[in-house]
Amino acid sequence: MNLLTGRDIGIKVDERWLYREVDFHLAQKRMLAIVGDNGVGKTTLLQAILGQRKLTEGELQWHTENGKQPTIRYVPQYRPDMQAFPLYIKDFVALSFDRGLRPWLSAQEKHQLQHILEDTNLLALADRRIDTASGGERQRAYLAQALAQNPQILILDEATANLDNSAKYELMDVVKHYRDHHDLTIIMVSHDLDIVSDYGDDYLLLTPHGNEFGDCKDADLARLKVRYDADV
Amino acid sequence: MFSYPFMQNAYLVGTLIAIVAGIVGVFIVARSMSFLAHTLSEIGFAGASFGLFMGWNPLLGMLIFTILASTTIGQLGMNENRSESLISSVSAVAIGLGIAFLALSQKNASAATGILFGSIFSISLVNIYEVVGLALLVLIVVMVLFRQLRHFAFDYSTAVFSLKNVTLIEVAFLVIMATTVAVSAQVVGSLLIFILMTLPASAAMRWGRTVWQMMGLAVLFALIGIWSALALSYWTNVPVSFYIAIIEAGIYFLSLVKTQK
Repeated sequence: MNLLTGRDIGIKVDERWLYREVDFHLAQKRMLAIVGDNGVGKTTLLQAILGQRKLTEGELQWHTENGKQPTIRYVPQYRPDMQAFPLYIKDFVALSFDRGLRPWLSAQEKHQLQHILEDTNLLALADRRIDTASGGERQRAYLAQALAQNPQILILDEATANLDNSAKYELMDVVKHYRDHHDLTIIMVSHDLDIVSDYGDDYLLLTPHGNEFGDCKDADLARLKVRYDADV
Repeated sequence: MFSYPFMQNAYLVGTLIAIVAGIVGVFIVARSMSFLAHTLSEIGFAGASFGLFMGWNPLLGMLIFTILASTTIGQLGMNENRSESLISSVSAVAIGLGIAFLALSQKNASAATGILFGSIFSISLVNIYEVVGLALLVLIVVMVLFRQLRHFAFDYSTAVFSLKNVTLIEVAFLVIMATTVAVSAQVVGSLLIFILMTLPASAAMRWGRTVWQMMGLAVLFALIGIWSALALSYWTNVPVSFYIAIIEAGIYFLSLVKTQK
């Protein structure tokens, strides 16, 4: 089932078209990989999907019951604040419980927190400080924080950048495992074509000269890489 | 010492201010807005001088100026990269205005000293009611908005996507901050306000591992500073704000050394 369809999308920034005529769809429980060079406008497309930016042309259509955007959680690329405070990882994840008037967590929220920490391999690290955690642990904590709110769509913006090989595969395994056991659809922005080919279901390649949408299985990633590298 | 009503009042007001400044301070430091808190205290000085000039209660002038300033330049500053230059220039204008209003109001030097350095020993009964009322109001609002403020202050980069009414929370936070500045100025004066609002919180944030621990420690550090400073000031006749500055800075530096990674 399709969750979102993008038709003829074009975004213009400062009188310059980043891209035009972008068509894609986001199917439920699939992982859509958005690939393309820095500055090509991947983040602006994410902003449009998040409802924070208007498209210059085209439309994004949600196929939800009320036609509105479902719950989306975004794991941003840059987290400038995180080195400053020695919060426990579990308390950092619990920042996500930001609805309601009760200052403390309810029993149900504590249970949900426990479940998320378990699913993200963080249970043993729950009482470890976020500011001294390794890059991979921290990235999993960011992921757990986003998942704590039970989103229907998760957006990962360069989540594996700056991680070593084992940490990035561990992170993506966690994402995949969680998606397989929950109703979660994923959009990931990545430069890492190995990750895209190993975990992505669909891909959307954005370049200033044209766009391509398709199934990762059918994609000739070597050709994609050549095309992508040529633009880089 | 406690047989004097002025000391009882000083301890009552000081305790309340320590609690409010400690708790709100944690959110200010977490949101990296210590610099804005400092500027608000200078704007508070201009507001209090304006209050004197108009013949109002200085606290009222302070509240009006700080709330107006925080919701305008605060909002601008948060969204702009040039916030430091913007805030510095506003700071300069605020101090200039403060001096002008003080001169125009033709009050004596003690009025100016009271605004700049605090006057907790000569606090009036009406003033106590005002401080108690405002402090309780701030605490209630912080507790009601606790979850939203916590996410907003500690992880702004995801709070903007998660909180439905992030602009409203931003404005509420700035108003809470402005009110805390106006209230805390009663003890340490507008020039030294950042001592109470940022130093106990900064020290607490090196020790605390949860937001509640950080708030608890910040209140404790602020209370240690205010209680000992009031006693020391009573015995030695040196201004309270001097002792608070020394004690809070001492706690902060000690925390810095002890918690080095």
